[in-house]
Amino acid sequence: MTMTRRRPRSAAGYAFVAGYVVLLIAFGVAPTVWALTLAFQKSTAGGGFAGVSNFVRTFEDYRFLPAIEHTGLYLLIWLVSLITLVVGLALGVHARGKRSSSVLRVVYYLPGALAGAAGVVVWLFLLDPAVSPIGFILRAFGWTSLNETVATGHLPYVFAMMAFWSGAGGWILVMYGALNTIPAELMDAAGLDGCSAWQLAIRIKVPMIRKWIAYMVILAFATGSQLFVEPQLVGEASFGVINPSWSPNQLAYVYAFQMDNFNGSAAIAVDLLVLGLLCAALVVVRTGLFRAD
Amino acid sequence: MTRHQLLARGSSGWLRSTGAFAATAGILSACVLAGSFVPAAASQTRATQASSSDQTVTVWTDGPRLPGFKLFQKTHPSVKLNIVLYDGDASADLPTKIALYNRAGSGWPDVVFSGNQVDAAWASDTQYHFAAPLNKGLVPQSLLNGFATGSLAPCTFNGVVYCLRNDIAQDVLWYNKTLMTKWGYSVPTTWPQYQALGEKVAAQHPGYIIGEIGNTNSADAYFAGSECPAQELVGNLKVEIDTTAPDCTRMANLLDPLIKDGSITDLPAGSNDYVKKYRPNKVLMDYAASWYGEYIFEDLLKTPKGEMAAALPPTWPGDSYTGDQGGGIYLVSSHAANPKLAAEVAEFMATSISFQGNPVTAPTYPAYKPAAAVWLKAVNASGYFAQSPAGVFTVTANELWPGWSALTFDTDLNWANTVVAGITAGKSIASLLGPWGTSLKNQAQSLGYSVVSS
Repeated sequence: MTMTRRRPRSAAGYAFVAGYVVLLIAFGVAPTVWALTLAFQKSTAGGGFAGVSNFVRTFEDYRFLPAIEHTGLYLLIWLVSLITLVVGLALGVHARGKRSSSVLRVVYYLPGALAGAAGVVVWLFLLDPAVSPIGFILRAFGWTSLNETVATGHLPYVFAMMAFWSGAGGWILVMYGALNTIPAELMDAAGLDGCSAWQLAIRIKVPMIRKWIAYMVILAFATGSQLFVEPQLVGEASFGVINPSWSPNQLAYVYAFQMDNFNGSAAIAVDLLVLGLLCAALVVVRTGLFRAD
Repeated sequence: MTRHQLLARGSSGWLRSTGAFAATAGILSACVLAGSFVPAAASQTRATQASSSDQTVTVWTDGPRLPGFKLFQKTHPSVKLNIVLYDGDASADLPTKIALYNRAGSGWPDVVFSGNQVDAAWASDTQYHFAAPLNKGLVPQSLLNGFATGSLAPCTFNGVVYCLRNDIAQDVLWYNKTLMTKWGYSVPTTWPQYQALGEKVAAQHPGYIIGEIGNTNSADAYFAGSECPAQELVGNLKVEIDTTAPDCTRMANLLDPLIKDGSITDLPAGSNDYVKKYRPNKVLMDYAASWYGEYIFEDLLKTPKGEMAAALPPTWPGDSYTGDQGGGIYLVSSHAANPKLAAEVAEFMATSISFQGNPVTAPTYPAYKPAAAVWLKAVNASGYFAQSPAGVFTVTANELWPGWSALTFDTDLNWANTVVAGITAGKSIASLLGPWGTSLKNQAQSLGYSVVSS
């Protein structure tokens, strides 16, 4: 009986993951393998094994280190604000009554409903003092034109705001879901022991959702290090005052399509992949993400 | 920024990368996109072309050029035009697609309109090998001789012509005749007079401007007009970049005090900030392209009818060159199944009187002189200008400085993200000439140019 029951159940499981696996192979694994191959070849036509020459060439490119610097600063700002604000807001929502928290959850999620490029377009309006509904705030900072708002030094902050605005809402919901998995009796027990709301949040809730936070950091680092659409669109809208190779992913795009050098482009893509994997490995090891309880 | 670019900005946001593999997936999604872009007829290779399909020409065009291709179709019923619309601002789009077709070995369009002259440079190089040489039998020399002096310079590399010019964006001195008369100012004929007038305007009528420097292509006006050797091809893949040469510093030193006193704005013409601040007639004067009359003053700023007029640009002693802010081109594919027919389509678009001679179908100044002669007769038909700009347009069309070459990258962006960004941050142009040159040199060298300085 158990044997006959097990079979259809596992078949259903495979069916469920099959769609994802197909897409993962087509748009995740295959391009990665292709990029790895290109990165070590002399030219797109093959041309033989190039060793690490593509990596050396792109690393020595005068635009490479500035791009890494830009994105590094952006990541620092974004990840710190993401972790503190998302966890803080999720705790806030969790601590409130059911009714007001459901309203807040919808409000937090709304900006995330706008897909990436559309979100950037909304920001283009927000950042342009001539048309922005928050123009008075921009002018208070002394920024009277779009080009002043998106001056080079402001960009990491501007992109971090955009990313937070469009991406944080979803994570607040995930964290809220995670907080709901904490057994009620545990929190009741903490309350009986004289735990304040603040202590409850810091000592009980945050440690219990540590793995979800780690998971968020891994994904946020991967998407953040591959920043592309924000600098590209803002660059176009600001009449070119933003460097077209501001981020490493933009530089990869320049290599592929302006310099017709797919091998160099692939090398930069592999750099980013390695960076993302290193970050993931570090976070997994430090937080015990994969450790079974 | 050209008119076409103004219209086409903000259209390449599709390469959104998410997830751990996204940087690599970006390349793939580009392939997918390019694939969806290919019309069926264009994917045939030369070997499989039947004789009937030799009469099929695949063209890529932006919206404003569409009426011309339709007119060709109407007047040449035996030819089958396969028209594909794209944004026409090819700073990224076109090289992306051609690079992918080169990898695939098929799929190229036969004729392409581009609003960006940089496309002639990379499309004709040995790496892309897309543009067909036109003066080697495809287009008669007599026809090429009909283009305005210097207008084919951005199409010409080592004596070979790789594109036909659609229009010229020659810089003229636009001025508000009504205000100039009212305030008793006379139109400057030399650059020192222009500077003196700017200082006067700043003192007597603050808030009015006599120029704008914050555009992506402002260098194409002021610095090309000053013969600044920022991007001058002096041999095969050999470029002179010397942005601190006297011909550059003289213009920087002239502009800096005017930017400081507010008579020249750093807001890009066409930006929201600019329109808000200078609508409807706060532009007393502007050294700008011929298409500004209709697109910036009439359409965007809504300057009333009968106020604006064009004058010849101010000159430096002994020189009479002017800048050129834009102007589209037609490329013919070196992979075309029927190159002769493809060239004929491009020829029609660039030179036919029926299309180019009519300001309604071809709103910008035609590069082909016989068409321009007809076009000019109708240019002030609506009576918008205080006086017809025809004479000024004709003279300046033949004064383009040939030293402002098209390189294989968009040099406007180097200008924008070094000089314009610096001006916005309060720096002087004179202090930014060096960084501008470095930015150009670095990029030129990364693309295989050898760089010389004077």
